[in-house]
Amino acid sequence: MWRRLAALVRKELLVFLQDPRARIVVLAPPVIQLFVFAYAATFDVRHVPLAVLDRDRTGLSRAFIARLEGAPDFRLVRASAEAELRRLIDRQRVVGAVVIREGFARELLAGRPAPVQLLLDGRGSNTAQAVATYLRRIAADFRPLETEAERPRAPPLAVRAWFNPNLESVAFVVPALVAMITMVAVMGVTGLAIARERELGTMDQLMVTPLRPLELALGKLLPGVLLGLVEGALVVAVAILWFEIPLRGPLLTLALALLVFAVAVAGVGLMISALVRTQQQAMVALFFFIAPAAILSGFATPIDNMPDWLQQVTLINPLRYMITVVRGVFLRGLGLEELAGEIWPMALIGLITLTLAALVFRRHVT
Amino acid sequence: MSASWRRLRALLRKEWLQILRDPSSFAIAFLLPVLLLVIIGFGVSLDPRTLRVAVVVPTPSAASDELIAALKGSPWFQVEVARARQPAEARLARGELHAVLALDGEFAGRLAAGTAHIQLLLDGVDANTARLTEGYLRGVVALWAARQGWQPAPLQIETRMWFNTAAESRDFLIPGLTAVVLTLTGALLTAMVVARAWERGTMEGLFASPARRLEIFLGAFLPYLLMGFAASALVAAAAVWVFQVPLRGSLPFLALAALLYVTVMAGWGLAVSAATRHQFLAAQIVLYSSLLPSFMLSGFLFDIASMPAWLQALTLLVPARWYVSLQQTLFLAGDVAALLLRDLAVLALMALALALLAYRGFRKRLD
Repeated sequence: MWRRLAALVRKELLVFLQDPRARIVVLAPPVIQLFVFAYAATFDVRHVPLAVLDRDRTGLSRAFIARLEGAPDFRLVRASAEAELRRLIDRQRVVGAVVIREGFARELLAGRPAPVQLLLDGRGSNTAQAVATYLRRIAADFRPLETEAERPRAPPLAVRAWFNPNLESVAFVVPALVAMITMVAVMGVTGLAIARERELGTMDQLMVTPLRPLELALGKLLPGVLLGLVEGALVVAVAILWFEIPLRGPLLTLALALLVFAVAVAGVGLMISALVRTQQQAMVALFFFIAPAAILSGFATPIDNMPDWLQQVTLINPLRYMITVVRGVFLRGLGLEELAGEIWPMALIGLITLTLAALVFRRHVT
Repeated sequence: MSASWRRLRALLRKEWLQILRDPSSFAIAFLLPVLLLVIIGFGVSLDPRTLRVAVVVPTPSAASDELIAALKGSPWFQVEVARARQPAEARLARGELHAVLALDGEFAGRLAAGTAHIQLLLDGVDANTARLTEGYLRGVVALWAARQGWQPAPLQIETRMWFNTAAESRDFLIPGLTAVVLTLTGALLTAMVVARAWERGTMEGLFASPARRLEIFLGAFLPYLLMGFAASALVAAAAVWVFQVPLRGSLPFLALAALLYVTVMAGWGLAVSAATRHQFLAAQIVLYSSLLPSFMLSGFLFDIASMPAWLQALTLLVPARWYVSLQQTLFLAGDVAALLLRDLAVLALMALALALLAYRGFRKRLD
């Protein structure tokens, strides 16, 4: 049995690496995804344009503006009138505007809170909120005058972000790509495996070989899992070497989880492949699985933010667990013990998808 | 050369039947827009619902009790109170908490001496949520400090969020979502169905018929234009009535924007299918040249202003970028003439260029 199976796996891999179309499906997506996602998928605020209107025009107001200028988060655009601010925000030239009101210095000197207005463009409310947080941070540290304490000072907040001190989205996105790219590769190969043979008419040839149904199914399953693991490993390497994301946890835990995950999604791919008649249909069916799986995985936006009913739906999504595992190992340094609760659901999903795939395979293929 | 309406009608009918007949094109045309609307509409949100925060208070005092009360009074937080730091930190490390707010043992005494501070530990894995958590917590802490009658912070920042007072990410995500949906019905569907006609040689059959080049082109172009337009109306209706996004701009602009964007997408789909004459390849190219950019490089979810400069330059070529900007402005800000004219002009140019490119593909000769 092993010899026959090995021959089939070898044949499948050769077909995939020789067929230019198949090569496109397997090799182009990971590269495009890795670099586009890693650089574009950011919620960070870096050098975003922010307008400033100084109506106080005193040394103190200029000192505050100098603080804003020194922050890497903003690129300041000077404005000279309220109407200009409105125009800049309307046309999205700036994400917001800081207005230093008249009397800024006077209030500060009198020991009263000095008024600063922050106008934000709600068309990008997420960026706007990040800008507001950074501005509050800068404002909290702005104490230009030593005031005598007749009342106790409000205690300042000392903020530390664990695992990602500079709060960079790249640390959130790139590890998750290990899971995402593995999934796309595994499903791309397994989902098209049977459909291609059907379309080319070579399925019948396979049927008349001494291969047993189980061997045939495994032969269609393993190449996808193998390629998926190879691509996953490459993304791990790129994450560490190119994006300099520290791998804090045990690699072995990651490898084990990735294997379980790859087998689980391979079951889904094989099922699709056995059900459809053409590669075209297979691709559409894959899309119907991959798009919701990616959106409902916590890859870009947290599952916690979804409505409860949708959070329940994500429980059947294997990608959800894998993304937690890969972020846990990379950033939190968690190991098998802490992540077991994410791995066994994937194993369970894998068991179900493989069983279903076997049933569908028997019914529709053999 | 005059186009015959009868022939065109027949071609349109043929194209329509082709879409309905094939399960995969039917699925893309009718099921996928609704599916994406539901899962992206409900599933993609940047607004935290409940942030789990532990407050570590080794020695409770009146001030710390009031801090806890202030946190519990905020709708953002699910608060737990701990005496010791270790267990709370361990839970933060496992990702079970979003933040730990830690007071030290001599908080009350240090407060009087002016040396007190509060430590805020954030789970930085999800940087965006961490930033939002910090922002909300700073707000609550400032409120608490003011209530204590402590010396206020030197600056008082009043924030006003224009166009989206409640800062709901849904309000800007849903209008932009139209770009993703229209890319599917516009480009992917067109590419698949028309590339199949090329692949199977049925396009050659059409060329041999009395139908003129323009008629064949329009026969393959108009159905997708109409379907894309219908999909945009569906998303706009859902935005207003299901997701309660305000619509402050005018409908004619909204319709014009959709029409131009769908023309760009269908034009691209036709051009790719004519160039590849291969449905699988055409679909792959469209997926990576239109769908991925419409999601990642359009400003729909990720802010273009924060991307690296080379990527920002690349987004100028992405039609979805201009369309998403139009949608967000029309829904939330209203008819901002200068911005609308710029975006519409860019889209009109792209639409013209791609329609011409697509038309060139329909030559009545074989090579």
